[in-house]
Amino acid sequence: MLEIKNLQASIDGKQILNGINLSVGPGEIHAIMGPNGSGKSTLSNVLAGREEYVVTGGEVCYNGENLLELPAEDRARRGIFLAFQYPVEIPGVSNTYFLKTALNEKRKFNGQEEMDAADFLALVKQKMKVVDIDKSLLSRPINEGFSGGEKKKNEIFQMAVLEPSLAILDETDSGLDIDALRVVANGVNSLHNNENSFLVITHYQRLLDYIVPDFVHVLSKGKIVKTGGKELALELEEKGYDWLT
Amino acid sequence: MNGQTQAVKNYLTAFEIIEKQNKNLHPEREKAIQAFAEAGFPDKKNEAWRFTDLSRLLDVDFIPGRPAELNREIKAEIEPYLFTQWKGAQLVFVDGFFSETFSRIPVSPEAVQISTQLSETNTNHTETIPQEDLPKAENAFTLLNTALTRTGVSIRIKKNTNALPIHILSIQTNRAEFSFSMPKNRIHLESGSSLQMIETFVATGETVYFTNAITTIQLDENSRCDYYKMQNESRKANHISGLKAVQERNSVFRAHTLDFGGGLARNNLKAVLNGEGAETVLNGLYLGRGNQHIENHTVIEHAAAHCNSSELFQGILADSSRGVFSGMIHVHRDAQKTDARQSNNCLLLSEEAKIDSKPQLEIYADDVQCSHGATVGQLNEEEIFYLRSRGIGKETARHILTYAFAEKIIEHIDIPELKERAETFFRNKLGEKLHLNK
Repeated sequence: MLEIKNLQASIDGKQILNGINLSVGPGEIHAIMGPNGSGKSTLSNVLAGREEYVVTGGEVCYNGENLLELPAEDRARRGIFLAFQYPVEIPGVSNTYFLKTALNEKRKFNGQEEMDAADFLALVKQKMKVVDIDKSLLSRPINEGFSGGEKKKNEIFQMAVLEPSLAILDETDSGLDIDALRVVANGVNSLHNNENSFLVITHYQRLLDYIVPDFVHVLSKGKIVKTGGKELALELEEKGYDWLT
Repeated sequence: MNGQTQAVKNYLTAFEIIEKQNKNLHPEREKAIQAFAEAGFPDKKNEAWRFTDLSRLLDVDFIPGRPAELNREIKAEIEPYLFTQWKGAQLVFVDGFFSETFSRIPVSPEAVQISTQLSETNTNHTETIPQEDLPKAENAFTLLNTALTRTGVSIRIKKNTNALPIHILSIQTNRAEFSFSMPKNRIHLESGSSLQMIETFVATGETVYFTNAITTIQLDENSRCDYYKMQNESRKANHISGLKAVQERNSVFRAHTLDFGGGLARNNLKAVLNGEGAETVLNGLYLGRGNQHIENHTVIEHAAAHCNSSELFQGILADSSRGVFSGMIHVHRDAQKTDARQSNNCLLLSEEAKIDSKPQLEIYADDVQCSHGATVGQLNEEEIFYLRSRGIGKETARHILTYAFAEKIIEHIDIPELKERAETFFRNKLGEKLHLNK
């Protein structure tokens, strides 16, 4: 599904990724862990298509297509979803309007009919349950005045509506209390099936108590230095990152 | 290329033509044209006209318009601009002349008086608005309007009357290329009355013409006027407008101006708060594309104590368009407890677009709250990326964010028909396939 080969990337002339190799199959959950500055967020931003990041080498193949050639919106339409570490606030644009536009862009791309307002609201109602998000947040401008937890829930809610085939969670757990963490994890688990995949990027093992990964990768200095099963996360929790880097 | 001299001469000739056609011209016209002949058009040495390039206006010898023949073709062009479910009066002017065919004046109660033909003896406005009170820098255009006006609306809302809304629609057809029209409207709200009114300026084609419009609104004690102006003239037109509201005690004047059209568009907006407890809201939205030049000059005269004024202008400039905002708040010595706020925000969508923003505060009272702020910025790249990361195309993302910026004004429009039309004009114009930067 996702094949990353020797991926190198820089931002503002500073080399961050130094040759990442990673293969994600359908239905798999991969956790990427690593200390601060190891390149975790760079990897997620490069995959989502943020233009400030310059790919200096390597390739990324997604369902047989060269992902790096596609602009961000085309990646999203093909099923890639990035849950932001710091979701932006966008005053003046309502959550619902935004999400309906996004969903219909995706549907158009997939040759489906655009969804009308009534069907969309029914869908929203159904997905709201998955994430336990407050109804009033949806009519408000995107993330404006949301608490940290509400912003992260909103990311998961958007994910639930857009039903990506590959979701990248960029430190979604950071700044969350245990209740919010559980809600986010429940959301992911209920969306997970044997066709869609998750790349869970996190600094702490905590999230992985709730979202159980098939693989754990340790990222250090822009490279994957170790790969293991879910037990690797526990080992990291105990020993820290120093023994690997 | 015409110079100033040729342009002035042209309007003196126009005056002679009108003089020949009409025997009993009001003496005020003669005075106005003479004063205009002496003053001429303002040039860039004049501080208030420093940024205004009048060459598009001066280069053409505009002539007095003629009433259009209302054939079927013209009718089809005009009809889409009418509000079909409108309860109040709809006063339609075609090429600067009142059109009975399209206008609808519901049998109005005695309390509302509308007259559409400014009679030749009725151009003297000194009884309510003294001539010397008109914005000084505007004199050339104000004088021209007084000298050459042939149409306009005169409305009087009687005491304690809530009038039905009034729509004044000015349509320029493409049969009237190179003509000028100079409507002069006078609105008087007697004490305790209220009125919602719209002035719309549209064109059915992309022709060159000149609109020089003046509207004065007198608000007596405890009256309220919600005034909207939507300008979507031809992109080659010159549109100069003067709006002046004079407010007595506890009156409320809320004005929204929406500027989409015009090659050169300039609004001179003035509110005079003469009575205590009066309130003014002056909001504006403008969207410039191509090489449009759009200006808003506001003056708020706080002449009495305990008055509030607030101004919000949201400007969007794309391509190589240019905007000018100048906002003067003048707090007189006796105007204690004044609360005056002004804000002008501008969104530049291309590197060639340009805004000049000039707030001016002149405060002679000591117990007042005044604030002003101006921002100039581009669309936020983080926000664009956020929308794109959800599958929304770059162009659409930019439009969504630009619209959100405009919405801050559009959301205040309390007339659904107008709101819908403003949204449509805005979205259509934004979506035009001129080059948007990036």
